[in-house]
Parts: sequence; C-alpha cells; structure tokens
Amino acid sequence: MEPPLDNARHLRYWQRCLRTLLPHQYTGNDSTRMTLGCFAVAAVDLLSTASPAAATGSAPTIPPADRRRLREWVLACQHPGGGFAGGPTHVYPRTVYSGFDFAAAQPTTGAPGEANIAATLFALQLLALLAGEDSGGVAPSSAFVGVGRNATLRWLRRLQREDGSFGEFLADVADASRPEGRRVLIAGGADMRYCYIAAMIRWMLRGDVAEGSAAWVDDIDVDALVRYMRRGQTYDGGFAESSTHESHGRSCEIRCAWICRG
Amino acid sequence: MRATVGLVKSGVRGFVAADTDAAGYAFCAIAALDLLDRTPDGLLSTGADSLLARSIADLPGLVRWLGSRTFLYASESVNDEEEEEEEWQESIVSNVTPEALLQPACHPLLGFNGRCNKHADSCYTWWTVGTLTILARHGLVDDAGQVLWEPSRRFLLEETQHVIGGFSKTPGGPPDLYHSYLGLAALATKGEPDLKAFDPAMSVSTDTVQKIKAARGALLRGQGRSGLARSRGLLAMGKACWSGPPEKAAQPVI
Repeated sequence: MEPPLDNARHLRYWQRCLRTLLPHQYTGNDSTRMTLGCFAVAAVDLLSTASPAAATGSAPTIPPADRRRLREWVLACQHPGGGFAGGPTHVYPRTVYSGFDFAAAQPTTGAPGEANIAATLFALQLLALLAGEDSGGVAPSSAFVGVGRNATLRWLRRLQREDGSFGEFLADVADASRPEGRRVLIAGGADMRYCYIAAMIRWMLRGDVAEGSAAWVDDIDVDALVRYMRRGQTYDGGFAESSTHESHGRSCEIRCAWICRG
Repeated sequence: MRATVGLVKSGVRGFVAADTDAAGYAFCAIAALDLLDRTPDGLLSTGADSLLARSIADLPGLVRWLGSRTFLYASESVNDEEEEEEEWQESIVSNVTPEALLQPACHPLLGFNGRCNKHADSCYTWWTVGTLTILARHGLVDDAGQVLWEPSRRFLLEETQHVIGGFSKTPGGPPDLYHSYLGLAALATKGEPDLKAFDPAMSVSTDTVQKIKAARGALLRGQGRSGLARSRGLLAMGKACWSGPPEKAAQPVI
C-alpha cells in the first residue's frame, strides 16, 4: 500500500520513549506512567512482526533483562487492597497499610485511593505484553502470577455506583455525619471510559468460575452497567458522558435541543 | 487519567470531566458491550439477539453519526505577515460525497473529528474505525464499509506521521505517545500488513489477548494463591511493623 508504513522509524520512536526521558510536556503525567508504559510496550508489540530479533540477529527492542525489571516495576505498583497505582509515586511504604483489613474495610482508611481503575487496566495489559518466552519474558501462563486477582475483582465491584456506572478510585474522605467521621467515596468521573475499563478488567481476570469455588468473587452488576450505557446514547445517535450530557456540549444546550425537537 | 478529572461532587452528576469527547465515548460503550458479552475464551455473539444489538438504543443513528465524523481534509499554506511563519490550516471542512471522491483530480484525504464542527484529529480515525469494526465483527454493519479506508489511511500517513516516527494529533504537530499508539491501532485494525493482528475491543494485538487468556487460566487453576500470598505478606509485614520492632517484621513475598 502507498505510502508504506515505516516500521523501523516507528520502532525507533518507541525505543526512544522507552529508554530516554520523555519531553518536559509529560511532567504532569507522572501519575499515569503505567499508561505511558503500556502504550510504549504495546506499540513495540504491534510493530514486531515479520523479523523476530532472534532470526535477524539484531538486538531486541526490549531486552529480556528489561522485561523482567519492567514486570517487577508493575507488580511493585500493586495495592494490597486490590488494583494498581499509576506509578511509583503513588506507592506508599508498606507500613502505611499496617493494621487495615481491606476485605472488611475496617477501618475504612488505608489510602485506598492509590489504586486507580485505569492504572489497573494498563498494569494487567503490561504484565501480559511483557510475557512471552520468545522475547525473553516469563511464560504467558505466568504473566499474572503475583496479581491479587480476588482482591482486585472485589475492589472493582466497590467502584460501581448504584446507577451502574464506575468510578475511578476509592477516596477516603471526612464525613462528620458518620460516627467514625469518615467514609469511602467512589471518586472520579461517571462516563463511558470507566465502564469500558471495568469491562476490560473483568474479562481479563474473572473467567468462568463456579460459585462456591475458591476463585469465586461476586460479579459486578452487569445489567445495571448495560442499562447505564444504553441511557448514554443521545438523540443524534452519538454517545455522551451520561444521558443528560451530549455528544459534547453543556447539558443545558442539549435540553434546549430536546425542547426544539419536541 | 486522574489528572484529567476536574471537579467532583459526590452524589450528583454536576461534575466536569476536563478531557471529554463523544466518538471516544461511543467507542468505550460499544467495546464495553463487546467484552461483557464475550466468553472467557473470546467467543463473540453476533446478530440481532446479541447483547450488543439489544443494548444500543438506536443502531442506525449510531452508524450514521459515526459516518458523519469523516470529512474531506484539505490544507493550505497561509502566511501570517506579523509572525512571518508559515501555518497550515484546514481550508475545506465538508462531508464527503461520492461525487467529490470521483473527480479525476481528487487526491483525497479523509480526516475524522470527535464531534460536529471540530478539526481533524488522528485519534478519531481510531475511535471511529475501531467502533465500526467492533460492530462489523458482531454482524451489525457491513464490513465497516462506511469508512473509505484508503484516503483515511493516507491522512494518517501523509499528514500526521512524523519524521522521527510516531503520529501527531493534528497535521504538523509533534508526535506523542497517545496519538502514536492510536494511529498504529487504527492501521492494525484495518489489517495493515506490517503490523500484528489487532483486537479492537481490547486495544492490543490478538497475540496479547491470547497471553491474557493463558495468564488468567493459570491464575484460576492456582486460584490466585500466589497473589493472595503476596498480598498477605505485605499486610503481615505492615502489621508487624505496627505492633513490634521492625527487625521482627515478616519478609514480604515478592
């Protein structure tokens, strides 16, 4: 096809992203390094087609030692209560989590907000992308070794709101009306992005398990999630962040549009 | 992603997400429905009875809206006398008609926007093409034929591909990780020969999806024990630090 895609040039771009400092414009992305890392490794994966490094004798784009180190980096960003943080700056010293029972949420604190739904998606994808014996990584079947599957699925369930949508993280906030003076808030936006990410995490980790087995974890409310997304479609056929919003635009404008149409 | 979320108010919908778009939302909803309906082995259901078909309130409206995201892209050089810098700007923003594409001198570039009256942005080629491809995989549209791929591909490669590699958001801009990955994603979704086969709903190569399935299967066979052990190890260490001198702390299982 013309013009051709210049694979080698794109690989050099991604290698540069992986091995050197990113331009200063990315400074504000420090909390989303898991996302940037996933894009880079996934792009190298997409571009690595016809010429395996072993066959051509050239150095692999991501050396095996780097694959192992990156894997450890991802796992080190895991939160003991389930989910992953977006980067090492969100990983607290382990003593911070002492005395907290995340399963029973007693007490509710323990920095639950450090685990982020988007970071969790990209961390799981990264672990799979870094696996593969032909590239010097761990075996694909070992890619999720070290992942707290049950804790992550339980945490994902706690991110779902009553309307079916998903939040981005759990925030421990002060609440004077509660006896304990605090409560856990499902924080972050309510829109299709987190619905999508929740569906991806669920598919990656849940699998087909029988109720009552050790791997059983209560599922998210799939019906409520589907209803929420169905409501997100707007009059013009597009999708909005929620039913009162629009294929972009402020909600008041949309209500005007509805009135005009009515 | 956390950084992009602006104001949050609990309990009400009056929040502002600072970085939003509509074609991205359509993709997220359709891809989520694909995954909710997908078996753990990756089998998709198709046709009018599938969850995807039943969950889209207005499928013809969605396809029409997605088709309207594409337009003929043309740029012209303008000289700003004060700045004396050459700038490129979109000179024609119009819906594509078959007549326009059939003109002998037409060397068309098709750009995509995220919503009405916006400029062409390389990542919307992905959000739109990805959504249509998922719908086609479920048998809900004909082979994603609503998009003329050759001129859309030309827009990505001629206008947004950068000399150092990667793709930019808009023609003439610097490449960034986000648009560079989604540019590759759009090309791979449409079967670009030098890229791996792509699973649009998972947004990674089908190779990687196979690895995810293998990883999940092994985890379930071991019932996640190693993950649980690691998590317990971390908690035990924390508790030990809390209640006793640090030298008595249990070593975490890493």
